[in-house]
Amino acid sequence: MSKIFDWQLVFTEIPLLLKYLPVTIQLTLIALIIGWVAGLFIAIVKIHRIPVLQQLCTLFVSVVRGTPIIVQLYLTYFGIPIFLKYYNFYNGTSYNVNGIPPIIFAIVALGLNQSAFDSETIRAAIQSVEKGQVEAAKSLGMNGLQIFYRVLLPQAVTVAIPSLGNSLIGLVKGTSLAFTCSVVEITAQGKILAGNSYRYFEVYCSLAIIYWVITIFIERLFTYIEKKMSVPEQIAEKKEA
Amino acid sequence: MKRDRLKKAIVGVLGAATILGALSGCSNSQKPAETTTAKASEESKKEETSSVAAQSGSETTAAAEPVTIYAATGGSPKPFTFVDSSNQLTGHNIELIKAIFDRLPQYKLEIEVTDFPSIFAGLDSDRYQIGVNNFAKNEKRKEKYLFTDPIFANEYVAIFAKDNKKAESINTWEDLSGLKTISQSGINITTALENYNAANPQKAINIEYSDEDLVLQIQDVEAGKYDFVLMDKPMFEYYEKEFNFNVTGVSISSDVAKDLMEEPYSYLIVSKGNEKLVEDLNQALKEVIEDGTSKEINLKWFGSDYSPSYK
Repeated sequence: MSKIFDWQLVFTEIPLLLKYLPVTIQLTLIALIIGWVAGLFIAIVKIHRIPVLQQLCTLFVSVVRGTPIIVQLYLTYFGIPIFLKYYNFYNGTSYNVNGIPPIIFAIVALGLNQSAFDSETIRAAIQSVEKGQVEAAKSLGMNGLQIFYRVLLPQAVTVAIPSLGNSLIGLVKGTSLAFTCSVVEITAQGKILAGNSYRYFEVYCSLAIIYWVITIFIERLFTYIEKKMSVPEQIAEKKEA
Repeated sequence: MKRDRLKKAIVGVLGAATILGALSGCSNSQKPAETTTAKASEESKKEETSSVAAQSGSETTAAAEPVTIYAATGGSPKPFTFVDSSNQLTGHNIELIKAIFDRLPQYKLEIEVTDFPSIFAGLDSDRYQIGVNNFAKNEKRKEKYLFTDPIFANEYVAIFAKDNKKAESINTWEDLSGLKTISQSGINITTALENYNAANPQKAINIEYSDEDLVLQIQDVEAGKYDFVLMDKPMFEYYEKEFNFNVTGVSISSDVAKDLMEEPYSYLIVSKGNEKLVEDLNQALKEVIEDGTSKEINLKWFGSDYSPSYK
C-alpha cells in the first residue's frame, strides 16, 4: 500500500503546470471577447426582433446551449476538415486544414459557446432598463446609438456583470477541454505529466488548486467591478467631473 | 410603425444574407488565403504543402520534397508513448515510428499529442494520417482504418488482488469467464476483451467501462470491487515499480491468446485512403524489425524483446 497518494507531487507539479497558464489565459480572454461581442449582437437582434436574423440567432443559441462544449469542440475541430475533405474531393482542390493552428478552432468554439450564454444575459440586462427611460432619451433627441451608449449600456452592464462573471468562470473551466483540439493548456499538460508519472490523481489535485485560485481571482475582480458600478452616485460624480 | 417594420425586415434579410455569406464564405474566403500560401510555398519550396493531394490517393510521384504526415498520440500509456521530464515525446511506439520514418525519406513525420479519443476523430477527418498509441485491431476498426503490419507482440497480464484465490487457477482466457473486470473504452486491452467475448459469447467476461485512471482501477481490484483488471505486461511492470500494489499479475499464456484472439498485436493505424503510405510503412517496418532496431528499442523500454516476427 505504499505511495498510493504522493501529496508532495501535488505541489511540485503546480509550477510545471503553470508554464501553460498563458495558453489558458489566452484561450479565455479571446473567447471572452468573441463571446461578449457576438453575445451583444445576438441580444440586439433578439430585442429588436429583426426577422430572419432573429430566427437564426434563436436556432444558434438553442443548439449551442443544448450541446456539451466538448461536442462543439469536436464538431469544429474535426467537422471542418471532413467538410474540406468532401469539398476537395468534389472540386479537385487541395486545401489543407492543418495549416490553421489548432488553437484557433478552440478559441472559436469556446467563443461561440460563450456568446450563446452571454447573449441571454445581455438581452435580459438590456430589457431590464425601463422603457420610459428610452422614451425620455428619444424625446431629448438622442438617436438610437446614443440611447444605446448613454442610457442602455451603463445600466445594462451593471445588471449583467454578476452573470457575466459567472459565465466567465464557466469559460475558464471550459478551456480545460481544449486538449481535444491538441491545444496544450494546463489540464492537457497535467494529463501529459501524468502520462509520464502515472500519477493522475495528484495532477488533478494540482489542477483543482490552480483553477480554484483563478476562479477566486475572477470572483474578487467581478465583486470589485460590481461595487464600482452599482453605486449610482459614483457614476453621477464621474460624469460631472 | 409599418415603415419601421419594413425597415427591420430589410435589415434582417440583409443581415442574415451577410452572415450566411460569411459562413459559407468560410470555405471561400479560406480559398484565396490557402491558395496564396500554397502558391508561395510552391514557389519557394515546390509542393511541400501538397500533402493532402498526395494522401488522397493521387500519388504525386514526382514530389521531390518530403510529404508531411501528421501522426497523433495520446501521450499515454508510458512506456509506449509519453512525454518525458524534459518535455520530449518518447516511448517505445514513438521511437519505433521515428525509426520507421528514418527509412522513408519521402515523408516528413509530425507527431502531435492530443486527447486519446481525438486520435480517432482526427483520423476520421484526415487531420491526422497515423494513430500511434499501441492500438490493437478489431473488426470495426478494420472497417474504418487501415492497419500496418504488427509493431508489437503484446502479452497481457490479469491483475488480481493478492488474497484472491481465483488468481491461482487462471491460465487461459477461458478461466477468466464470468469474472468482473473494468476497462477503458477504445484501448487495446478492452479491444482484446471484446474480441474474446465476441468469439465466446457463452463464456463471456463481464466488462464494466470507465474512464477511471488505471491506478484507481487497480485499487478497486485490491478492494475487491472487480475481480481483475487486464494490462499490458510491460506496463504492469512499470506500475508495480511506481506504486508497489498489493496485487498479483497472472500472465495469460500468449499461445492461448493467439488461438482465441487471432491477433494479440499492436499496430499503427492509418486513415483511409492512404494505402500507399501503409505499404511504405510496412516496408520500412520490416527493415526495422529485421535489422534489430526494433529489438534494441524493445530492450531499452521493456528489458525483453516483444518484436513481432516474420515467419
